[in-house]
Amino acid sequence: MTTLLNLHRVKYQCSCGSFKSLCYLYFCRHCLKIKCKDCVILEVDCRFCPSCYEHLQSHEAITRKNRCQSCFSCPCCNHTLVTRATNTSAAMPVSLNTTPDSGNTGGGDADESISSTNVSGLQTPSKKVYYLACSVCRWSTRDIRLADQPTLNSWKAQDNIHEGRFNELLQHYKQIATREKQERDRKRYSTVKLRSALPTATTSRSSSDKYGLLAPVTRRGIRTSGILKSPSLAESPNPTNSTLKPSDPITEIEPLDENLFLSNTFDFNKLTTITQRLNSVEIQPLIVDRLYPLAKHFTSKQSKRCKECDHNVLKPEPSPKLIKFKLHQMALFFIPEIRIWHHPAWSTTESNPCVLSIVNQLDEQTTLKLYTLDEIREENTDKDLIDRINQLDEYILTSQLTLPMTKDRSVKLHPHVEPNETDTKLDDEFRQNDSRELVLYRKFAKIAIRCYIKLKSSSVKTILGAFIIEHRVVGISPIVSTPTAISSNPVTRNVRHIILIDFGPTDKPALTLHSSLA
Amino acid sequence: MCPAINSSYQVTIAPGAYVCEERLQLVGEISIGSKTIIHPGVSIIAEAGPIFIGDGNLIEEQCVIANRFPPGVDKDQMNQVVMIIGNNNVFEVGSQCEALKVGDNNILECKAQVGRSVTLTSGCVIGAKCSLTTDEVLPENTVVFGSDHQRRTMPDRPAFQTHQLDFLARILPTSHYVLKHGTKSHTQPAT
Repeated sequence: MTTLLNLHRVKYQCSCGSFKSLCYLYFCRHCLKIKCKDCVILEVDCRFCPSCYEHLQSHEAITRKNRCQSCFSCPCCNHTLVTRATNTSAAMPVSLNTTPDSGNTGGGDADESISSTNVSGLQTPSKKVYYLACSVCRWSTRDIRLADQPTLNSWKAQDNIHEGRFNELLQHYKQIATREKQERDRKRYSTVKLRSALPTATTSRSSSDKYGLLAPVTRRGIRTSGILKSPSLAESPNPTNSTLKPSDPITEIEPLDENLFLSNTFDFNKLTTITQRLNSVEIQPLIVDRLYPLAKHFTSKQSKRCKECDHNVLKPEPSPKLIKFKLHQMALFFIPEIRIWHHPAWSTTESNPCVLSIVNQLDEQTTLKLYTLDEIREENTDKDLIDRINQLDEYILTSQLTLPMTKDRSVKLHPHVEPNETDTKLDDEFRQNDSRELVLYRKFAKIAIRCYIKLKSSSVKTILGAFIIEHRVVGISPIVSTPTAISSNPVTRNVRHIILIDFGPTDKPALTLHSSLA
Repeated sequence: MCPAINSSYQVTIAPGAYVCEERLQLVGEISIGSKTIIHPGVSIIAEAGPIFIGDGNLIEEQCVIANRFPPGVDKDQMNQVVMIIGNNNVFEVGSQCEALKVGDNNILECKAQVGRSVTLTSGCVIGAKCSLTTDEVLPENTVVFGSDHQRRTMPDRPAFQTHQLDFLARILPTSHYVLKHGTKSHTQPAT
């Protein structure tokens, strides 16, 4: 059964040349090409904490350094810390778990019932205190002698002793950067029109394009917003405080004392590992007693944009709790999916008959044409495709894939329907027109085709074969300049995809033949 | 319902201990201390010598506590080697313990495996799905965790499970067949 969905076996070629499984690919409906995650631009839509789903606006998240205030990770093993509550007056500590979300109500009920059965005879008022504990490595805030807090969510971040110096340096360099940018932009965009419609973003840290994450539109806006003032006004310089105390350089470092390892006071168990140390870069504790809970990083929901035509390919819902998408152009919805169904025990000299299944995921009837690589080379129409095929054949392919029927192989595929659909009329109609050589099996949106694999040489270790499919896609027409006369003819085109199939090692036994194929 | 009949065993159960009969597999000479609770589906195999289990232990489902012969030895020539398990240990579901000496207050988490040459002192925690097959004495309060078997030392031993033990001691006899305390033995019929 695991061979049914071996996703990494069948790969489609993206427009950038890399081969990926169909589930990882997007399809841009404007340029009618497959896109993968390396040829799309990411834009951060929504920032949220992965454990409590707290959703913050971008600017607020950035001021909080993209960390959650109530969720913490264990400094020892990096798993999420759980808040536990105990009673201060009980002789034997009663521990129960509360997550940061559930608050006091859930914890309170359990606590009452436990305290009534266990703590009999204790009349002193019990106060609940909280501590953080890791359920994987059993680290807790008590290990570092941190006092249990009487209220939830009152864990403070550690003070950064270098913060003052950092701020000084940041201010200084920010001023230099704004000055340089203004000078540079003034020279380049001396004739640009002032865009008053765009928000006048200041060149602060939150809206500058430091990491190339912003949309191209906003990027241009920031660049030109610096020159909104006329050149004469910008001449007056900001009162820059360019007198910054330089850091003290250290020229001599103490050599390592070898007797340190031999002395009795050295305890290996007390040292932190490098990963633990670098998880909190500002503090970098050397010994285990100085570890502190790490505030959890935010993750983001991203929308993806095609690099060529700048249209969105994937746009999620902005709320972290909703998993649907506003725009969901995955390649799976546009291109039929091919899977390996059967292959025999491999013989190195003869042609091996294999069976591939094609599943149509579209909501409409599709006609699929299949070509072998040689036929495309004979056709000689699409130079780019032929170049790609030749490259593939030379470096990667270890076998030749041939299809039965010499020419004009086209199969019709049923639209993707619910499995309990009983209308088999279309199905039967298609079955009449199927060639018995090519199509072995047909049921609703799924058909099985036969192909033949011949290994290139007997020293081949893994079998890689390729062929080409062609089908029709309906794209979105580009927006015309006059808003009144929007053309209503959708663009339809026949697109071709190169499919690379990895059948596995040559010594793999044959897959069991399905009863419907025999 | 009864323990497996195709093996010979002799088990001594102290008063206060509850041993569930269901799917219980006993081999050899076994002694179980008071207040120990053994869940259904446990195998205690004292092949190479007797096993002495202390007080207040909690042995959960599908655990295997085995005192086996080392591989490749002549079984008739071996002397009896005693396996001692201390007090207040917790063997969570699916764990396997073949260590000859287990101290007090240790916790073997789910599907943990401890080999014969390891000695668990006290307060040790072997994390879920970790397996220890080294030849060593684990220092006190050591925690082994993670898929790469990282280790760290806790400042104090893990908490008692007294609440769980009390609860089980009340509930278990009401819904399971429990072996009575005393000595129960069964010899395999000679074939």
